[in-house]
Amino acid sequence: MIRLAIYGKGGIGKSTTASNLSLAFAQMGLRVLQVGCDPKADSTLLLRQGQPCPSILEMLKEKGPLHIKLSDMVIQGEGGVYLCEAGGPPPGQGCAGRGIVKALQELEKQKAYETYQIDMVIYDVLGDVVCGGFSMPIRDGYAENVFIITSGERMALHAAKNIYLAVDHFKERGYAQLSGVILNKRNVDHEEEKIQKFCNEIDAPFAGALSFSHEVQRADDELKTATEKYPDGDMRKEYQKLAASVLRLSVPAKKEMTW
Amino acid sequence: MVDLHHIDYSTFSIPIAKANKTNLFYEGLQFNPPAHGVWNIVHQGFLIPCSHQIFICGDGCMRGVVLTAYEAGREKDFSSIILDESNVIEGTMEEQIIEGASDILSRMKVKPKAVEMFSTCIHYFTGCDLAYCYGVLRKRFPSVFFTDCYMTPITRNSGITPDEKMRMQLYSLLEKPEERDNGLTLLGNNYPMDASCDFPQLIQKSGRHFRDITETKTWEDYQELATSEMFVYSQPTAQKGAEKTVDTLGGTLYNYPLSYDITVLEAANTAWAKRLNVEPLDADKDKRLIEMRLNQLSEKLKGWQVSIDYTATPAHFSLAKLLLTHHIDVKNIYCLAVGSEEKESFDYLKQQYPDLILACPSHPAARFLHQKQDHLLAIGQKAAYFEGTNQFVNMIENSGLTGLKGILTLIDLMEDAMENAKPVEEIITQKGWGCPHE
Repeated sequence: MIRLAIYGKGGIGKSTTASNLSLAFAQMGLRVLQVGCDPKADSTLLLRQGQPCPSILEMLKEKGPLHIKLSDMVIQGEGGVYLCEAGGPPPGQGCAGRGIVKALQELEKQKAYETYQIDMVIYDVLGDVVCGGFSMPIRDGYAENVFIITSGERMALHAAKNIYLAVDHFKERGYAQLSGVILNKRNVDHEEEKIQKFCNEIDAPFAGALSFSHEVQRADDELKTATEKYPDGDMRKEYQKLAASVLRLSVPAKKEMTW
Repeated sequence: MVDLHHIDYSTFSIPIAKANKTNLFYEGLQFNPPAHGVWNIVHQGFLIPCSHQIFICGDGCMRGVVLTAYEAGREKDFSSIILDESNVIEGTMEEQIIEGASDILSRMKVKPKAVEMFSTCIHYFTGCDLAYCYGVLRKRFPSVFFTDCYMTPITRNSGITPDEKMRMQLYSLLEKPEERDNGLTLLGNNYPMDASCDFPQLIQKSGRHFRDITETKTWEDYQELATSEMFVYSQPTAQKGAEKTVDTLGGTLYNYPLSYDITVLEAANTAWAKRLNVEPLDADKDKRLIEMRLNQLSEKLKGWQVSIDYTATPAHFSLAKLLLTHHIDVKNIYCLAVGSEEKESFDYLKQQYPDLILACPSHPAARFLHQKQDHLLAIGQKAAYFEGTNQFVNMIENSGLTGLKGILTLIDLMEDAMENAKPVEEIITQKGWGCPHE
């Protein structure tokens, strides 16, 4: 099993990339679980034609911890990808980090990874690692690999640097390694050079680049992945290439979950 | 909001006919009566021999557990790490645990065999990486066994309760044995089983080694608990822990029911005699004796009422059923919930004794109940407190009584309580009744 967490600045295209990667991995024959770790619970929308996936925290609230079943939390979407959303409190309220901790613990408790015999887990985590809860997906026993998505824009690179610092800080604890940086192009001048320079600075591999493409935007407007909407399109090929690179750069799970 | 000047008594007690077994009482502001005999997590933690407890929390929250350790004379087996706001703001929660525990242990000339690390609500809220902390401590102190324990009252109503979790963690330091013997290990009891009662009698007949954490004195005794081929639990709150323990250690798990239903107990004794390949106990003799003794008790208790509380026995509904069906006037039951093993007795009482009163011992109205009453026999500390009687049976979690002989012993205790008043205040204010002092 390979477990990876995708981090990056808000709006950089984490969920879109995660969903297309999930589909690409599924098309390689892997059993994929995509876990949305954002209180907005919108990571998996593109793999469900825009239909929201009921979040684990919502389920816990409605059904109670003794009555929630694995099949309530994990559902299958496009291409047979298993999907779930951690969820969280309404904006400005509660503790979103705590919500992620709770949701991931519930998945562990209910043996999600074992039951569905998952080969690839993708944790799609929101913007910045602002508190302990958001570092949960990269802890020992969860994802071993972190991929940062960034463009060449200054603020995106700033966020990427902060994420790198968090990952580096936790290195001594045996948390996830930084396995690569993904460039999601915004057509900024010298964009690839900037990212290469950033990768050199932080000593991280460059995992690949995704073009700034109308295919992705049009598919997004229809609440689909570009992989699904344009099966013969250029972007599908780019996502496949990126998936192969991510696979190559990722280390396998060093141990199974400790349930 | 609860108006403490105008208490709503209507939700404090209800006739059983109107009770909903899945949701007996309102949940909200709670009253905790000064009847402290029930063990808490500190007392339970002391059951692991040669262990040391470390609590990690803000200092205000430590008062209860510090006093518990002190009252039990076990303060040398107890330490604490105090947290403050800076640990949250600066993100030093993990560091504080690791360095705090290291400091405590490095000051000890003789290291304990086991350390129970009690994390608290703040660790839960902040997503503290406890596994990392304990991993580091295990590397720093390789001769010490660390286990994770919890003082997280916020999880009381969500999933596994702190009490259930504690009864689980008590066995988490057992190592899977290479070989097993034909022994039988009891899991999850705070009190040793009364040797004169049915279950220990059956085990004794079988010649099997009977092991129980309450009887362990050394680390080797404790580790021996894992070597039995059979494991059994009796307390309902021990079930989850027992399942986890057997899942980890291997062996086979069984149950011996805690009940006052003669049919249930007779069936359990028969099944166990068969399982252990021993002659069954003389159930007919015990049943005759129980009938005779209950009839005598009923005569003696003419003009008296009996009050039962849930801390005396998890089988409080089946106990009430036994007494009521033998013409003993049960005034009320102080209870919080209906356990799955008690549903049959609850339904029976609801149909046959619809006026039986169920009262909520944690309701704010309970604060004003403590009034002296005559001719009232209480079973349990809380019932004694609320009913204001000195005539009470000081029983907690069944106090090790099992089976048909357990019923006979309880009848003895009830008769004794009628005849001999007890110093209630002196007894019930002592925390963790029966917890062994060092």
